[in-house]
Amino acid sequence: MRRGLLSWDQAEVPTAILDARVEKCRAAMIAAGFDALLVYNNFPRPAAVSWLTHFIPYWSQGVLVLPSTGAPEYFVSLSKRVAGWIDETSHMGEIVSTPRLGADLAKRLDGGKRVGVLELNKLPGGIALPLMAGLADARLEDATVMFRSVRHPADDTEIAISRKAATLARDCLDGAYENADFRLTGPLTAAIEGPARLAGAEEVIVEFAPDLGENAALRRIDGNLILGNRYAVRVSLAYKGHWVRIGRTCGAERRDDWIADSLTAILEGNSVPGLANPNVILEACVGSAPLIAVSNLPEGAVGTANLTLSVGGEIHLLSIPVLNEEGTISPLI
Amino acid sequence: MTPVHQERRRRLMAAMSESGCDAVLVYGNAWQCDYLRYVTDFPAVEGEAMALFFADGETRLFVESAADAARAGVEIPYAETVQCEDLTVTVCDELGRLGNRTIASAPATLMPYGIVGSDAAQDVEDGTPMIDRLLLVKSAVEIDAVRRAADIADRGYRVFMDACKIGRPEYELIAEIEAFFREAGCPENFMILGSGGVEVRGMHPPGERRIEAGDLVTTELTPAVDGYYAQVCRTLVVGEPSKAQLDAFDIYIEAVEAGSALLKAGVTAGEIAKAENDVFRKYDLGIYCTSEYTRVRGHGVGLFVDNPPHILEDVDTVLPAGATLIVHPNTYHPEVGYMVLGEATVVTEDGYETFSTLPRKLLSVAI
Repeated sequence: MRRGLLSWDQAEVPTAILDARVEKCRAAMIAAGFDALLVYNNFPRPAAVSWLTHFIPYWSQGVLVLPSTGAPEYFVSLSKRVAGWIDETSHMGEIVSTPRLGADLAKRLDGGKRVGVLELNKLPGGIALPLMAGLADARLEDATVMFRSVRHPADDTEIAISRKAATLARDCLDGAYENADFRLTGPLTAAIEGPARLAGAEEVIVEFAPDLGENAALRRIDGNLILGNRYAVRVSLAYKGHWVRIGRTCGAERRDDWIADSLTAILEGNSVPGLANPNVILEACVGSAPLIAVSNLPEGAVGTANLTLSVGGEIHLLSIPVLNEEGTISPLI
Repeated sequence: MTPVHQERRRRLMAAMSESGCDAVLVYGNAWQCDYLRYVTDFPAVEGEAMALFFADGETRLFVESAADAARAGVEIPYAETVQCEDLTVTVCDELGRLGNRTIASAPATLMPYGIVGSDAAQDVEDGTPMIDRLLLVKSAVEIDAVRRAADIADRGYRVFMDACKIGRPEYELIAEIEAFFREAGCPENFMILGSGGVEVRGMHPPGERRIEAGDLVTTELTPAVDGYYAQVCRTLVVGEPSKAQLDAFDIYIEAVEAGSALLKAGVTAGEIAKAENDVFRKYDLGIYCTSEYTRVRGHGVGLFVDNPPHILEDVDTVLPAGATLIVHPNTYHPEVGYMVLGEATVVTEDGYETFSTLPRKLLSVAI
């Protein structure tokens, strides 16, 4: 669940920004011929709703309805007692608390003919089937491509918050790593996560490849594992709905600056002296997932470059928040 | 493969054999992963995953990210991991190849529309009740995991009490708890809280409100060990409790004890809820047992924070020995505010065993 600071500071995310995103989305929706757009969210898939309204769920699930006119409405399976908290932390219209999301959405959409759904195939059956059963004349259509067309470029607010999140993640990772010699995953996780949450992080996930001599898979560790001589640690951190990742290889000579300097060449597939077979996975927020792998970082998007590099025969893992500015991908901070 | 997962597989294969099921299809995400975890032992950390488990024990995991695929290769090497661009498309293709085999899927409520609305899944049966029965009755090794989670929860609560100082914002309390859990090797925790007085009507994620003298501070801590959650609910007062607070809390203690006194194999969830609610009704507080003020009067715990059965008067689920749950009459009290009390418990043939060592009383921290 999300259990860090979930609050809305309107100085950081002004209502005008949220209104502008909603109107941009609504214009595309109308142009596509949809009478309404449905956007599902739960805490693993919060990003589209939080981008439009700032709402970040800590639990349960809901569906945002963007009508052709008026404010977005939120149908949520949390109890009415939570509606006040939702209202305090977000910018939306009516909040409808209901355990019958699908059926009540169908009533709300009665009269619509074409309803777009972001990521329709991923809509839970417990919502989708009663929704479809309750719609007399309307039909649901996938609106994923439409949503992606308006999601980027990132506005100044998104870039500023992502930079803040990236700085927080970097400082907490570096602060932990440089101030103590950790032998176990648990204490190092605590040394990263505690300060990050104290500084207002909304969520933190710390993953390790505890011994790069054995395996380079990053895992959230259940229990306490001994850290090898060379290990990788990656921090995924959310702040005000925006996720970043920063990862390092530890116990070896720090190559981060050199690798970051070589990032553009690596991303363009050009060779960098001393680097063999770089593997790059780019991630961005293009729908409801905070970060998913993308073949190309959209123009103007904030994202993460996850690099697996072989340097002198040793595996290095590195994750860097990046920004695609006019076709050039460079470190965000 | 861990001993707890070996036991789960054995029980799952027996249940499949009994119901004539050739394969089960399960879905899980970082919110609700119990069905997926039971069948594969793979915990979804960020995204979502699906798996097919066959009657002979063959396990096929479907994930979308390369990172999840690499993680699965280390954490559940006995499974074949399929990394795909679109889970629903790949799983539908897979279902199509399984021909006329008998397949059951779970959980029905979360199974994606791309699966349940597809032609490939038209003959797939709902396997949710079958796996729900497996999730309900815990084996000895599963109960041990819940017990260990309860121990961490108790220790975490003491950290919470130490952190609860006047002037600190709510989110700083959670930061200290989470750091404690992570240091202890506990990767996951469900936690909400409330702070304040008579104006507080529930719990929520932490905000920026600062702790004040005289506050009631409520929380439910729910850490997980090996995927199994245990919950403890306690209420504390910042400073000396008032007579009104102590008197009010006596009702919650009485309600927990009334519900717990009925606990044993064969009792229904509804009977437990009624026993709790009767205590409130005795003090003319019955309205605070309704959905306007409270969600449930307890619930199952295990591979999910909020497993069935919900402890509500209209739930007729019979509790078997081995069910792990929490009896918590958490609700609003009109004189003092929202109060919570309860702890993880296992139902036995002739009673129950509670895992918590925290006292069932209104706690306080000095100012």
